[in-house]
Amino acid sequence: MCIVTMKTMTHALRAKSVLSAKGISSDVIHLDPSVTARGCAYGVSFSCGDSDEVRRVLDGKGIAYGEWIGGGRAADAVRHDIP
Amino acid sequence: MIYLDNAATTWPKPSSVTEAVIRCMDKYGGNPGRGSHRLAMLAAESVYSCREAAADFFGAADPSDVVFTMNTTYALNTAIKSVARAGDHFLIGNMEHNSVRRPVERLARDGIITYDVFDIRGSARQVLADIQKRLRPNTKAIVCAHASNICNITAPIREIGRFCRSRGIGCIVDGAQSAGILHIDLRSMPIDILCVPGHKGLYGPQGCGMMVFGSDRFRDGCTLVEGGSGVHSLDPAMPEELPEHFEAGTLPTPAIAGLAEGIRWVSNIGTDAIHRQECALWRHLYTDLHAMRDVRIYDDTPGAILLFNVRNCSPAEIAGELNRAGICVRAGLHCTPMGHGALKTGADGAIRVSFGAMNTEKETKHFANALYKIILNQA
Repeated sequence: MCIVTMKTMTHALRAKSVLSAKGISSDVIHLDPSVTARGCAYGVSFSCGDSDEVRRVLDGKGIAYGEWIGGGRAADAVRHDIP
Repeated sequence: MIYLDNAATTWPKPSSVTEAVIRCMDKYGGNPGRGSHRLAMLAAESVYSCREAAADFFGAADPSDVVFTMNTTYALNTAIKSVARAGDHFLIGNMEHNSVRRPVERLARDGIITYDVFDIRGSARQVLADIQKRLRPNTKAIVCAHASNICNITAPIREIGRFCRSRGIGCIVDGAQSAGILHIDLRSMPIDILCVPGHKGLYGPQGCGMMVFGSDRFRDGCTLVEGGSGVHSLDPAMPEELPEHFEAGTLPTPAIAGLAEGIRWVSNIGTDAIHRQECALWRHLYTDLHAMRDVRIYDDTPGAILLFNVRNCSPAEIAGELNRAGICVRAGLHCTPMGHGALKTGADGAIRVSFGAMNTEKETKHFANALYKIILNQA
């Protein structure tokens, strides 16, 4: 699993929506406080194999995003209260 | 019961709207954007779905351009006060509702801005000429109702928007009476902030309005209300990004869920079809009322509203009699004293009949008969 952090919940839902329209499966996730120094934050998780396409779609739609997190860090970035 | 007060709030609502509200309250009553448990996420997705529907309906570039407010009054207050800076000058139309007039008046009384009033009646050329005459070097924005709430006069919004854009002036539009009734497309209408209600022409529940941003201008305006936003809780300031920048506190998710269905319902029927139907009802009623010697009608333009008075009778008295006959209309000044002044209705205002998509020709006939009997009894 890979994650891209988003500035707001609305941006995360927008990202999920445009990715879904392109046939890319993703989920909105609540990020662990350790990921951001600013408190509550959201991101979008997706299969790491889709990373290039995810970046291309978000850039194409002008959706602002933050950090890209992959590998073992991705699992740590998700808040533990999520099923 | 015949409901003819749709300019205040439309009623009845489509069954899909009611069902959406109940479904939200029964099935996913979490707090949108607060946490990530299942019910919070379902609520957030429902809110986002409405942003998508509204952005699509009004031609906004992005669902993030849709900011939810409590109603149009809050949307207009936020738009006006987030833009206003010390020394600014504003222009407002002469048919404005108090939701525009009072915020600018308050800012003026506090010594923050000055403002002037222009006449929205006449051709686009005449309106723009009047605006040009009142323009100042420090004019920050024009705030104008797209459609009046007491008659069927509309402002040439597209032309006003182009005028504003060409001179670097902001354009804030009150769409309280036009959203869902008249065509509004932010792709072709240069409006910076469109303020609309959810519960009128979009057939949503009360408790939700919107600011829809049509440009990048004013997106970083001052916030009027600060508080929880669900993100960046350690920051002492509100998020910079729309829509969260202007959305402090919990959103009315059930109202928003209903509004999404209302927008879909209106989209399926089409604003042109709804407007045509309301104009047809207006023509039926106008014909009947015009034939009554003691009735004075204030505007001959077909549309959703028919404003009238009965000679030697107070509007409140007539509205009271209509209420006793099972007919709901609104009498008085309709929070638009400037507009009533322009139409010269008098100190007591007038009686407003306002049609909605659910009204029928049979109801207009019933109304005309009831009014005729009331007038006979008054004689």
